[in-house]
Amino acid sequence: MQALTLSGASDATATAPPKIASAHPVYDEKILKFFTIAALFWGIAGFLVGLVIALQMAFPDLNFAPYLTFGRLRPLHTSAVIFAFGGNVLFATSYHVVQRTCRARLFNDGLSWFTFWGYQAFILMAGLGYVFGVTQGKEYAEPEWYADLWLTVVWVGYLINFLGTLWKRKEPHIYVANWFYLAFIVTVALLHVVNNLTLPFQLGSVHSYSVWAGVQSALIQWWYGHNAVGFFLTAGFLGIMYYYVPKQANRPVYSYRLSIIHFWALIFIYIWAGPHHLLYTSLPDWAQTLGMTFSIILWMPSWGGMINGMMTLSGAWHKLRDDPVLQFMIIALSFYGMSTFEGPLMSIKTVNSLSHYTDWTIGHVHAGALGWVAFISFGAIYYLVPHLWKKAGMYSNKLISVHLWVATVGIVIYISSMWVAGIMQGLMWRAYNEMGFLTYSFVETVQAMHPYYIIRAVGGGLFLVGALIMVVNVWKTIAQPDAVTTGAALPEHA
Amino acid sequence: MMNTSLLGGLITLAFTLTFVSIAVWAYWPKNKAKLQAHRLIPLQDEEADHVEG
Repeated sequence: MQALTLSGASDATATAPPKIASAHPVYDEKILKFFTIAALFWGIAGFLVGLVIALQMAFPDLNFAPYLTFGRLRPLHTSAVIFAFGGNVLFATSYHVVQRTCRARLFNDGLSWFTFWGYQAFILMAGLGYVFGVTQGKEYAEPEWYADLWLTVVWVGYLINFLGTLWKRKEPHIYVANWFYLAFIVTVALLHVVNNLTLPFQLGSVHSYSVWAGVQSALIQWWYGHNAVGFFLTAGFLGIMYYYVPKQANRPVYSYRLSIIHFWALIFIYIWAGPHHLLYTSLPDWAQTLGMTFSIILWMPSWGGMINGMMTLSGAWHKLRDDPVLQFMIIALSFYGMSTFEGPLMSIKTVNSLSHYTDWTIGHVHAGALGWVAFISFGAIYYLVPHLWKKAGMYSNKLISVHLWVATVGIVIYISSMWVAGIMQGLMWRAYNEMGFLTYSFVETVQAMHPYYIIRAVGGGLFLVGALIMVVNVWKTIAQPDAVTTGAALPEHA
Repeated sequence: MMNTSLLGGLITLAFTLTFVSIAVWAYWPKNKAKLQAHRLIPLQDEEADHVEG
């Protein structure tokens, strides 16, 4: 009965109206499959380019001018992993969660497909631009005006589709995961439009001038940049946590009341933390202190959210022993807790005077990006694949475990090498002798980094290997016979 | 005319009061049962399909 019901929501009904009139919502799952596959594709591409640029740092001869130099590949890596991998994961999961928790099909099929193809087109426009040297040089906002305009159109389509689904919901209450997704969509729209206000050099030019200048430009850039972390890489993925951790554990979230506080505290506080990227610059001192203060306050909601996610397993910790998907999610939350502890620490001016511009920052970012964002995404993908393709489960739980541990070891190697490298770098830069001269020339600090850059590349390589194992596992899972046709049970919580 | 410091102070106060009100509402004992019931929404979705389908 259940299998028949679920199969009614599969491919055939994604493009045509359901044949059987029923009060029960027929979900659009085909679009989710497309976004999931796109996320895997861009994930591998993004991780691979990350490995290439890590090797370029260790071995500069690997820079092949002009198209494949570090300067062009670095934004390709960051955009591929954040916007292409992370973005497609967010589209897939938000479209899944909003349908399931509202008990309603996505608002408009045409809009769903427009957002899919429109978003992939944006990724290509941005990525090809970088390789050919077209960039506006703003970190995480490198795409030029034409790609920015296109993304704005796609994003408005996303917002309408999401809001429309909420509007036609059959569940009276809007579940908290949707609040996080909506905050992500709305805030990213605002940040994107304001930071990318530009004028093309001339008619037909791909390059542009920013409307903003001087220290205001820097402040707006890091208001954007930090909230890209706060709302793209945090709020969106917390939406994933609030749905997929309870689903995988088959237990309700620990405290709904805490989730309300978690949500509003993040919304009120995160938006002010950006100036911590500009400590010891020409930004007025009061604004620097403001950024530092709000960053420290962020400890509380971040840890409140982490505790809420982890305590969902309260009384059922045994589930963690045998379920590698749940292990992905809980390790992700551990990394979330760790990186949201480290971030505020690094925003303290005294600490920042040592850490700023060093590889410590790179280590911190990857603790959050690999440990939190990617791991919670992998957990969601492992949940989604058997559900969407109607299989009894993933092809191999053993391979999920192998992925988990290979990737975890990779992350630990990555971040610990960057901690050592970064702190050493900071100490070498500030060291001076009794005469007041700097102890080390800059090139000596670069040479000292060499072994750590190799170790970092090994860590990144392991992370990529783990992701490739996941792709094989997903491939094999999709190739398995359907649970419906074999009579096997669907996944336990399907 | 209102200066920016005063305006900033008033906005800060308004934001703080709003947040505190939300926190008080969320943890008001009478609201506990109603709010905590929302925890079950993700776990009820498949069941609802099953029943209606």
